Amino acid sequence: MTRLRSLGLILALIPAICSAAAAEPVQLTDALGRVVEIARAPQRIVPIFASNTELVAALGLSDRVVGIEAYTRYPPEVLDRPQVGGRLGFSVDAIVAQRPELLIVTPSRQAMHLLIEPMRRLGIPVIVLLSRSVAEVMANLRLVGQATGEAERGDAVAKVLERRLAAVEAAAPARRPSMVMITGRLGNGLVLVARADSYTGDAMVKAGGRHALERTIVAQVSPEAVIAADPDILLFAGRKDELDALVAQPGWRLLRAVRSGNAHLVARAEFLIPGPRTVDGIEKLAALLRRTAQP
Amino acid sequence: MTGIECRSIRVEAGGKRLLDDVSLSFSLGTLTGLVGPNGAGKSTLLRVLAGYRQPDAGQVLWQGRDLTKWSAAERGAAAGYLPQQLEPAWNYSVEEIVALGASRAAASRPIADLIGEHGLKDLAGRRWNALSGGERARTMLAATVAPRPGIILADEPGASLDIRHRLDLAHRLRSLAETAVVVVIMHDLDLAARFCDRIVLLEAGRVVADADAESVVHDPELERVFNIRLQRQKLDRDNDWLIGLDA
Amino acid sequence: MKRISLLVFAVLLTLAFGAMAGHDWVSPTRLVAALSGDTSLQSQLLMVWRLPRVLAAALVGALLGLGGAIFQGVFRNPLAEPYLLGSAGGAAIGATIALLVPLGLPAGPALAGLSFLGAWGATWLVLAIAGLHGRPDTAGLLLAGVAIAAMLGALRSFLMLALSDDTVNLQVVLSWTLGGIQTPDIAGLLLLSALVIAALALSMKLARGLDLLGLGEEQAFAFGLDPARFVRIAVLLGAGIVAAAVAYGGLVAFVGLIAPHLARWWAGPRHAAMLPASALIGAALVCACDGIARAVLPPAEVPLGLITALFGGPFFLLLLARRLRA
Repeated sequence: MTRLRSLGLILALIPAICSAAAAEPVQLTDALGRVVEIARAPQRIVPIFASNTELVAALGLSDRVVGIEAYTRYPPEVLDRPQVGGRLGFSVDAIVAQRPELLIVTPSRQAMHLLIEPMRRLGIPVIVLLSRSVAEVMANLRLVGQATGEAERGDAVAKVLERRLAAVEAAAPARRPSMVMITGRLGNGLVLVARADSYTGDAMVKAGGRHALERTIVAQVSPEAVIAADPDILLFAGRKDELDALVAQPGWRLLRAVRSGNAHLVARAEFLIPGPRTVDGIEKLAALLRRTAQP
Repeated sequence: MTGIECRSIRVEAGGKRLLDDVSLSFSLGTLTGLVGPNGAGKSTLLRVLAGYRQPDAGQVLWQGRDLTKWSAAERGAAAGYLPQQLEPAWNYSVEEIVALGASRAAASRPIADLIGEHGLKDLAGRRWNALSGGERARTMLAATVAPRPGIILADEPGASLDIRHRLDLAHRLRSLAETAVVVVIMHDLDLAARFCDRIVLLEAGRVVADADAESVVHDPELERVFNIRLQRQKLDRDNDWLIGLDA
Repeated sequence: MKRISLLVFAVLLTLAFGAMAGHDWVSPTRLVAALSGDTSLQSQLLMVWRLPRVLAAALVGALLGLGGAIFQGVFRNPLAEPYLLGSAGGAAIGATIALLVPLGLPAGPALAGLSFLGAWGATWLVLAIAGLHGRPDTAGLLLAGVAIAAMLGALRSFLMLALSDDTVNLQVVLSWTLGGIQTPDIAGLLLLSALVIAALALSMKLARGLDLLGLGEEQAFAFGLDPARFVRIAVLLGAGIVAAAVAYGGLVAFVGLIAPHLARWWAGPRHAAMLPASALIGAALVCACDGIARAVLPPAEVPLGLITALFGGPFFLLLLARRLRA
């Protein structure tokens, strides 16, 4: 958290050459291939979803955020901004009331379907971001930088994070342990796992592990399959009491990872929000793997 | 006191009085016919006597005891009810229905006997949907009399039967009446006259005539109530009365 | 008796199928090895996870078969199904609360207990509203059931929206409503077995009454049944049995409708034979469908309710075709 803020402060001191460059209209292509034209550097931004808010904040542009979604919990300076949506969906009226000049959305929870058409009619530019891999998260930082007229800042922030990733990769032990990350439990007894082809799955690999489960089509998986895969390490994105409750279910104590103390918690904010904190998560996981690798 | 009795029965529904202060008593050894035009309250009265319908006023006594004090099991064992038509939800077999009838009392007659007596021996395994009207009536009768009930109530049991089966049924009810109280709703005045010991004539919820069959048959009220003219004929054989109906 | 033994054999076959089916298929030799004490992970997983699951599936199916048979007998209607009197709606509310409200209770028992209470409670509510005095008014019961089900459904949707947040979302509850057996631990399995035995014993006591009701209310009354009292008892027992099934297996559709149908066809309409047959057929159906649910889309599971619905639809089309031809 401190790293990001100091980064933002340093970059904010870059002279006005950047703001002059940002005066021209920007045209870019978002993740869905939509060509979006942004007339001038937007000063009022509404990032829908916590991940997009963190991307904007990572560029030091927290003060330009004028509306957030109810589930956003970070960074602390934006938490008092007006909420434009949450569990029951998004309010076009609430968004428009903030007079935004840019909307950043991800195609989750109907956000895309609800908002793109009304915003288009109102002339408010919307960019849609996808995060299918860690590399795409880095690309999103650059894209948001472009969209907000801070292209150089975006590039710089992304470069710093990429260097950290490279450092992790360099220090990775030779043998990659097999891992399964459980991100939730369903009411019918199935567990939700991080899929190999998601950014979370990618993050696990970047941290130095490999996937114990073959490519899963959906995130919901039978506990039997997880136990049969018998990973070296079991990761759980949640609280300790939730992990304990899971492990108390029939069969889980058969896992080597459980019996040998290799069932670990990871922070949901670091692995389930595709933003700069994902790199924090990767570094912590890599450190964990290095500790476990030592005999 | 081995009969059934009803006192001051009043039944109202939808603002209409279906039965108005009806008091009757029926004793062992009598076959009573309940007759009357449609809507006279015959079915309602039978249901009240059976305990199925609670009257708005009045009392029903079986064997001298208030019917509301009888338990369901006692009721089932002591009486039998023959419906106009039975529409079971499931395709029971003849034997299964007779067995259900026999299950009302521990001392019921053996099912094999009942089946034999009612001419059902070749039909024992046949299912309800495959039975003719007459076969169904015989099955119901066998089931009804299985626990040797002292009270038998019947609601036009021969309504959908051909004349042969109607006569058979009437004969059987007649012989049952020797050891039980039998009350039967009859639309067929001819059969009522020939087989009943006593006829009760109902009109608009009231008892209009109540006497032995021969007297009622000669009562002019009968013609008035049905709005017809009756021709009475006495047969030499068996002293049976054959009533021809004239418009 | 012979007919019942054939059904028992069918259940054993489906149990074997269920034990072999799953995200990876287990050969009979591996199964035998596991049963005789092999200590490999696979064998232990079979004994600790899959076998209890398969047994639970059969037991839940038995409960559904019994519950469905009782409801069909009470309503004298072969299309009556166990969720008629609001138990599905009530169970869903119980489950929603258990899954979305942090009650501080252990999750598994809370889910089972609350869905049971919800299912049974809803039926009590329906009985109270329909008010059974004197004559059992089955039409009134059905009306009350439809009304309660609608209101409970609305309440459940509201609860789901109001209580979900970013960590526990709608999918958690929806997955439960689609039905699915959760592998029980030993205590849970023993409790479920005890429930099935009790359910069977109590249902058999209803057999004569259900037979009598089948003749018609008036005739049942004449044959010494107290219809209002009997209907009340039968409905509560049937609902309790269904509630237990729902507590262990979520909302599984069609089994409570199909099993009694098949039981009547196989063992005849007399409830003394039809009730155990319905339990056995229900057990075989759910066990087979659960095996399919686990095997079709590895490593995920298809919700059990979807599989039973996939079979349920064509079954009724078949019934319709036979009816039209006759």
